[in-house]
Amino acid sequence: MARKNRNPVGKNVDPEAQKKKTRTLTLKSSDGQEFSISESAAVLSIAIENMVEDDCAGGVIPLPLVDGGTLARVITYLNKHAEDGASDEEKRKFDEEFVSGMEMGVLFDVVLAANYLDIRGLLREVRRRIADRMKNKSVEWVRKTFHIESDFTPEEEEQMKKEFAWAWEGVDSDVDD
Amino acid sequence: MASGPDHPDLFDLLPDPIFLLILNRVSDIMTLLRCRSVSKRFNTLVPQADTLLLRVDRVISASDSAFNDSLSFLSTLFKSLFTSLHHLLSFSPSGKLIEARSPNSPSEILRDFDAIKSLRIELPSGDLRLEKGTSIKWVARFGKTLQSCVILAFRNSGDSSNDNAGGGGLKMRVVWTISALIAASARHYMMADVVNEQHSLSHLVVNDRDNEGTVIMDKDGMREFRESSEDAAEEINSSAVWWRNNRTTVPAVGMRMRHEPKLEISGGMVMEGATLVVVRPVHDDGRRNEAADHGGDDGLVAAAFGKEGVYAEAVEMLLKSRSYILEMNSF
Repeated sequence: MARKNRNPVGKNVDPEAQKKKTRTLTLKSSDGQEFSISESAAVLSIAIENMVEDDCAGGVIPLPLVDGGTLARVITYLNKHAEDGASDEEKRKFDEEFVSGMEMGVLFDVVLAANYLDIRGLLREVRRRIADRMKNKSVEWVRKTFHIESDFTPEEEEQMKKEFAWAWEGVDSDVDD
Repeated sequence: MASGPDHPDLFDLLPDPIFLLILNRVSDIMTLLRCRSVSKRFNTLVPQADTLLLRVDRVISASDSAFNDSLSFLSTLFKSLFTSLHHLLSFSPSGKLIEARSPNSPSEILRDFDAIKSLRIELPSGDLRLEKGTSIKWVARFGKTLQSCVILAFRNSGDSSNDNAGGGGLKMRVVWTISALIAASARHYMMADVVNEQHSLSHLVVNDRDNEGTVIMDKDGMREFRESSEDAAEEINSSAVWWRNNRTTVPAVGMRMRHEPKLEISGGMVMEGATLVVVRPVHDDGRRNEAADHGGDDGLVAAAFGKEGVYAEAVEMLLKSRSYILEMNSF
């Protein structure tokens, strides 16, 4: 089956793109919540696009790995990026505010959903946000923030700290920004 | 966000590939090395990160005696232009000595990583000691030696308390160009061990926080360098003058220069003595690179200075100016 043009661009109204805007799909989360979304927004997810193209959609698309709260966030993102007339600058600003408002646990839920649904832009944004938070932070901050229990013995830990002693300088304070 | 034993380890939720993508995004080597001691999984995955940034916090300059021992004309000329040639690097922001093993070369630090593909090394400052108000920006590409260098130099009109408006003439422009080439080849030389030891490395950038100079080695350049590295080592050892030491020899080059006494950039910035130089090696038989004719400059210049911002605007204007070529022997 021939692939349709993924990202119709340009001002010329492509009848197929027009149809996608008016057609709506229903996405169903793992906890049974249903969400309506325009097809043009939904297919920004490559995984959903494939399901639509293979016609296994049949009205309702079940997403058994994404819970309702996370799916609602993902849909907010997709709608913004499918919005007519939203400039790149506007989208960039939206992305930044979108991820900076999320708690760490939510960011991890969204990164998994974005990976599963294959939404590259969202995946990139969330990854960047998590990484930016980690930069220059102490080991203790990383453990506390991501709920990580050390599985090293105190001796092993001491040894590692010695080996990379120079890397322990210039760490930011653990106070969250 | 409450923390407690009920909360799962967030990174445990992630498969290795996404975990690694986040580490690549962190990229800062200091943070990553510290993170190795977070847990065993971090310790296993950190060395697999393939996109890294190494921030160098202090450069200890080549020993002063090396400068003083040499009485050559060039040393007098360039001594004043360089703050340092890189010899030893320090990674301690406070500059104080750390008792434990304190690595002083990039290759030593990078030995803890096995899979680096893309590496950026950020030096604390530019290398050129310039008169107040003078700026030089350069971008050089290297293989085993220089492949190209694009240089933009100018004076800020705001600072022109000097009477030397117009940029100081041809001599100054040539000195600017040679200085940039020496700085570039010193940075290139400094990276030799890294390129030879990191076999998966395919993109290397060395720049500085002053945004003065950038050395780039891409995949092809890297291969050329590795293939020739044995001969190169001999060549380098054979010369003992300080300004040849600690840097890669610059091949015979053709320099296409363009110059405008005054450039008015949108936003009110005025550049005086604005100079654009595109440097390319000439082949042994005197034939220039096929790309060296006029048209070829545009692409190189755009790749170096981008399409937006004051520098992009300046070079775009300069490209329209009349150009002339100077040739220079290997040095």
